[in-house]
Amino acid sequence: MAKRLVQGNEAVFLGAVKAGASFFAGYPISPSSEILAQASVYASKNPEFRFLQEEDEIASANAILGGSLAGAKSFTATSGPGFSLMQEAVGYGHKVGIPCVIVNVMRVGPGTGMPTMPGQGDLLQTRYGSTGDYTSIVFYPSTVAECYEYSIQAFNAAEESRSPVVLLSDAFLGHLNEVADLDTIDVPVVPRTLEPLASGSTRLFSGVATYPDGEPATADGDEFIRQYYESRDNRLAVAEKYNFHEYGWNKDAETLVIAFGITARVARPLAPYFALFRPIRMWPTLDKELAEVAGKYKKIVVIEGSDGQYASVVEHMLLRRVERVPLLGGRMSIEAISEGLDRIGMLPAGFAVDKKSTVAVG
Amino acid sequence: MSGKSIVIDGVGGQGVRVIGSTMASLLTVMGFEVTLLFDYDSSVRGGMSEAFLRYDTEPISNFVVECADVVLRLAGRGPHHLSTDYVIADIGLMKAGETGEEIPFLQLGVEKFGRDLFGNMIALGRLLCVCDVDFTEDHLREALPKKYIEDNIAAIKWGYGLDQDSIKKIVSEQAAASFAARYAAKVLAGTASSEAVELAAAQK
Repeated sequence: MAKRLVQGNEAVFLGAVKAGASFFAGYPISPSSEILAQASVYASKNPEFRFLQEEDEIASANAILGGSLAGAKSFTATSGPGFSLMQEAVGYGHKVGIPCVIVNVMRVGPGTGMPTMPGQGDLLQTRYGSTGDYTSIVFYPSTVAECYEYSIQAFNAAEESRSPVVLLSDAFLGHLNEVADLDTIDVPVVPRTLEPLASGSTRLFSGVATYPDGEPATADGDEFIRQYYESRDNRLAVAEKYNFHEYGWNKDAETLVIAFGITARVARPLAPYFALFRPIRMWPTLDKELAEVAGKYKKIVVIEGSDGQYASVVEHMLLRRVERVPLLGGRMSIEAISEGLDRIGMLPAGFAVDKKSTVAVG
Repeated sequence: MSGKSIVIDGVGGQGVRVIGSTMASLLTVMGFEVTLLFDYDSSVRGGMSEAFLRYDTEPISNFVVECADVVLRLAGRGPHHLSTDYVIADIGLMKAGETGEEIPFLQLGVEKFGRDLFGNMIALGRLLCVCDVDFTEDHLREALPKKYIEDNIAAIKWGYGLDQDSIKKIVSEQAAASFAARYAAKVLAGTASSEAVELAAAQK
């Protein structure tokens, strides 16, 4: 396949197919609906791929858990309000250990909010949205080609960690068309790790704390703790293999910008003045990778599409104060970033916003 | 040829996606790096629909257009925080202080090609001309959907071939025709002819 225009949502779907996904269940919601539409059309031509439009997002999330238990690499796609509805199923998937992928194409929330405007405000929900303690693996690409690449990686990480993995996107990235040759992106695919139910072995999937033999362990704190740390350590070990990030721009600058997803792209005209750390694996946080570079910089500023969600995380990671440039209301622009930097006295002297700049990806 | 930043500004149903997709496909066929972002309001029918298109010979990082080389304006709902060097607008949509031109695209679509839909392709032709995109018919054939391809190519070429003199002539002819229609309506409604002239002139 030669270079062609590919949409971000389309690339996510094609990555899923490349990863071996054979079941999609979903409920349409802007700005993710193109993924559902792609799945519907693909299923009509490829009977080995099953498509189910559910009555809501609760059913969608539970359907992909069932599909995965039955043996299919499974996924769904939604946006903030739908992702909120899915949280009970997310927790169940983590407890039982069910590999699947949930794509969250973020828009401006809370509530219905601004359905077609880009936001990055679901970041903490991807980590803490469900009940109890669990270890999330979450990726957030920033180009259409990366949507394809990290869609495959999300399925790989789901199989290896045996947990629901979240692939983040946003309204701009999902609806962005750009030139890409997806066939040149070569990501090895991790094969299915779970035997389907009814294939002979005994499996427990009640979601209740149980002993390995299936007896309830609902009052045994020691057994709960043993299982919790076993699960956590396994998922952290898997995540270590997926420590995707970018460190670049002007590494000799005094200030480090932390930005991710589309924000890192929109902020690109700042490249001569700042260094950039762009996490792609959003959870578990890249503590070691960030700590290795953060010490070189006098100041750190987090530019993000929420009111400081990741900035707070970074402060916790580094145990130091960071500056914040929140991009709210869908205003993802170099003008909005410049205004934010100016407010905190960090707009570089002499920085003239070249709004026409189409500078290359770093 | 250097790249450009373009915004197509309209409302749902006006063909913003068709024009943006066709131009982006054409530029891709020609070997350019292209980003095309559709931005729209889902809350109401007829809400704003925008296409942000950038093309260059190098990969494009920032795909959000905040200062356009050219805006093609089919409606006045446009994005906030946008400035532009040049505006191609349908009749009545130029704003005070802007540099550009007004062309009755939808009317021309009907007059020249039998359907208002072809006004979109005429507008695309004019946009390609203003952006100095040097395409061939083979490029167009590869980029366009097969349905109505001959009519679409003809409409794009016709729009591309417009120059300032022909635009002035079209606009003045359109204004005269519009005046005549308003005058006739007043007379048919029983208004005295001298008064109808004044009323038709005042009603724009």
